[in-house]
Amino acid sequence: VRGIIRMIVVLTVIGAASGLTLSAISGATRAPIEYQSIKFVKEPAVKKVLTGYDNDPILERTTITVGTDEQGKGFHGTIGVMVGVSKEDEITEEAFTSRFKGQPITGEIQVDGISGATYSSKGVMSAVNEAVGYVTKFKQELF
Amino acid sequence: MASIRAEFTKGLWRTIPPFRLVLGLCPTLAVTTTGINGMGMGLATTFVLIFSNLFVSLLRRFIPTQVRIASFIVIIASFVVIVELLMQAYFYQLFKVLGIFIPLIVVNCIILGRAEAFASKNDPIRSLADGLGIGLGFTLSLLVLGSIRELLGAGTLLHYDVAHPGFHVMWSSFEPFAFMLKPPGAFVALGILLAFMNLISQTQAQKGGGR
Repeated sequence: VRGIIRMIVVLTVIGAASGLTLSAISGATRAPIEYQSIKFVKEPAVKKVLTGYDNDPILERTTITVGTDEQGKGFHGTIGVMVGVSKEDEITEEAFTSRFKGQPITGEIQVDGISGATYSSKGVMSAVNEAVGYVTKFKQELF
Repeated sequence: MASIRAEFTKGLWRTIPPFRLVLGLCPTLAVTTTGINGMGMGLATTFVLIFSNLFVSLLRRFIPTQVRIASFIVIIASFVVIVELLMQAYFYQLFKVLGIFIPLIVVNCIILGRAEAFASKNDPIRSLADGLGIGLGFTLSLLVLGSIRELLGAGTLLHYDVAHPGFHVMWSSFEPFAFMLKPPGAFVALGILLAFMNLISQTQAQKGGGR
């Protein structure tokens, strides 16, 4: 019986020590990991929609919590769209297609769809409209 | 002192993994498409190996024999998670490329093998030397294997990413063997290296009157 108790105690202590260490390290690396994943996953898209910035858009970002990433419904799964908005309330160069460029962000945005990809065109349009809706809603905090 | 040095240097040639031990072949064959990838994998493994060896050796008197494997795995797994978090935080692109093979370091036979066969029977200093030697040997092997495959398969050396394309060392009309970057190419390259190493050892043994 003493042997069994010893096994339980040793394994518990090792497991607890490992859990404590890991949670500390996970807490310490959370910020750099978030920075890296935004930098390598989203910055290429940001570069396409916003030209001529010279700061680090990731360090100087404003986070607004509205739920999850908004994604348009596509034909097969969802579509992620990166939308850039200038201070003059116009959509800047847009990563998916240039049809949105220069559109004012007041009201519903309508552009011509692409034949043969009706469903995807609608998805992108709805994603852009959602994004624009958030920009209008949180304008005070953003600019 | 001499024995500590011996524990360190044995990992660099005499029992160099994966060639001499022929253990841990899964990451060896899978990630060595470029030299840098191989080196990254090797260094991650070295980190885990050093610390798991140290802790297994420190705790060897407290761990009951019946649960030693479970304890070793918990220790190894903790360091694998640490290395995974650190790579994600500071070497994101390497982390992306190595992907699933980082968590799989947990089941790398070299690490559990050293914990069971060496660190659980030796003092911390010797275990550290052993972990460092075997780890650096593994890193060196993966770097060489990766560089050979990269050289023949893509014509470059030390390619990291688009921003750091490495060196184009082959002549301009060189047609890369795409085969070398595929899994069969890994086996072929490993086999040829193994043959070369055995040839060298054999020649040495004959010169020295046989060992």
